[in-house]
Amino acid sequence: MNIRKIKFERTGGFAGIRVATEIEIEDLPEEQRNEILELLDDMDFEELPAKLSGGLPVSDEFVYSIVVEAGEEEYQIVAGESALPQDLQSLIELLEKQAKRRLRKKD
Amino acid sequence: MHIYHPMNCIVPPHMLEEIASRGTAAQRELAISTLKASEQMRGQRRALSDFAGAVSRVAAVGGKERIVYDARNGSSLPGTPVRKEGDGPSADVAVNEAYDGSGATFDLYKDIYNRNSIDNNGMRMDSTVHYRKGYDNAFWNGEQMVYGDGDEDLPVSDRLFNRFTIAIDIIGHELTHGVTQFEAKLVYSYQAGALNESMSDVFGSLVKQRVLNHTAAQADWIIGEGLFTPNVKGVGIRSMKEPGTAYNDPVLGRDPQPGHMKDYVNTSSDNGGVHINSGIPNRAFYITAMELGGYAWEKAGQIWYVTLRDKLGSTSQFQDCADLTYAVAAELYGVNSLEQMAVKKGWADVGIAVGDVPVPPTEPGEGCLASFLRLIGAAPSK
Ligand SMILES: [Zn+2]
Repeated sequence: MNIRKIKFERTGGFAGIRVATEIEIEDLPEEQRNEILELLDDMDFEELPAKLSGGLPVSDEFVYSIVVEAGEEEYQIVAGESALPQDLQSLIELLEKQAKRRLRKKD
Repeated sequence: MHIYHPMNCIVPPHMLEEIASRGTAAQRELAISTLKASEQMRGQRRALSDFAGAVSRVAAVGGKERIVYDARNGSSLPGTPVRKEGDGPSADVAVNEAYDGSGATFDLYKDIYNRNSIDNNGMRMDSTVHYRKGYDNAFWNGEQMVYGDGDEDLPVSDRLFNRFTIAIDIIGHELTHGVTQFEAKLVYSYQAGALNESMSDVFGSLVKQRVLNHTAAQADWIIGEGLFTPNVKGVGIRSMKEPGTAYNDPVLGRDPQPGHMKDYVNTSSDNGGVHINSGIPNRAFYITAMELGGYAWEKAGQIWYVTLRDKLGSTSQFQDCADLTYAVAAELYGVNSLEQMAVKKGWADVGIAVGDVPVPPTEPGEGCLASFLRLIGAAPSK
C-alpha cells in the first residue's frame, strides 16, 4: 500500500465528545511513520472487514473509525473498543495520542 | 401511525433464567434456546455460558450486594477486589464513590420502584475503578461498571477530565444500562439507542436528585457535573433542561445535543448519535417533571420506569416512547389526568405529538409470559 493519509475519529463514550485528526504520513517524524506503516502492514489493514464487532454490545464504549488513503483507494474500519484486535489496539493508541495532543494545542 | 413491535412482548430474561436454572431438562432447554434466540441476548452471552457463575452473582438474601475492584491502570476486568459489601471506607476516593454511588442507585430502584437490583433478582453490583491510564470514559460491559481516571496521566494544565466516579449520576447512568439490558433491551443504535442513553440519564439524574433531596425545580438537570476540570468551559456533559448548552469550549467544541425534533442529528458516528439525540427524550422528561412539580422520581420517574420495564421493546423509537409513556400515565393516574397531560406536554415541547390516536390497552409481559409457561408445560393449558 502506498499510504498517503490516515483519518482517525473517536466518537461515543459516556461523554459523546468527538475526537478526530487527519495525519499526512509524510509529515510524521520518521520513527513514528515507520511504526504506523509497519503496524498497518502487519495487520493487512486493507483486508480487514469494514466493521468489526465483538460479541458483547458495550454501552458507552468508544467507537473508532480509521480511514487509510492509499493511492486512489480508501479503506475504512469502524470498531467499538471492545472489538479491537491487539494490533489494531496498538495503532489506535498511537493515533489517539496524536489526536489528543493536537486537540490540546488548538487554542 | 402506531406500530407495536413484537419485541414488546417478551418473557423477561430473569424469568427465562429462572426456568433455565430450575426447570425440568426440557423446560431448561427451551428456556435457554429462547434466551439464545433472542437477538438482544447477545449482551448476556457470557452470563449464559456460565449459569453457575450467574447464580453466584445473586445476593443470598436479596439485599444490596456490592464489590468494587481496582484495575490498577490495567485493562483486565474485573481486577482486584478492594471493597466489599459492609466494608468500611477505603483510603481511595474513587473506590468509595463507586461503592456509595451504586448503593444510592440500588436504593432509588428498591425504595421507589420496588426493583431488586439490576436484574430485579438481587444481582451483585460490580464496579471497577482505575481502568487503564488516561482513560476518559466509563462504561457498562454487559456485566459490570467500569470507570477511568480521566486525564490523570497529563500535566494538570492539560487535563480536561477528572475521574469518572466523581459525579453520582454517571454511576446511576451506567447501572441503568444494566437495567435496560434486562428489561426493554433497547438496541444501541439510532433512536432506540438514544432512548437507551436517555433512560440512563433520566435515572442517573434521579439518583442524584434523591441524594440531594432536590425537587424538579431545585435540580440542576446536569449530567456529569464536576467531570470537567477547571480547564474546560462547561458545567457538565449534558443538560437535560437545555440540551446543547452544557459546554462550549475552544478545545472540546460545543455540546452537540438537540432539544427538539427539528434539530435531530442524522449521523452514523456514535452508533447513530445515541449520545447526541438523547437530548430530545431527556428534555421531554425534564418538562414532564417540571409540569408535575415536587420530586421528579415520584410521578415522572414512575411513569418512565414502568415504560422501561413493561412497555418499550428493543426497536422502539421516540414516537413509541412518547405514546407508551402517555399510555402508562393513563394506567397509573387516569385518562386525562394531570400526569397524562404533563407527559403530553413534555413530548409536544420537543416536537412529538401524542394522544391523537387512541392507544389500545396492553397487558405486556403477562399474557406473553403465561403463553410461554404454557408452551413449556409449566402452566396449565387453556
Ligand atoms: Zn450511556
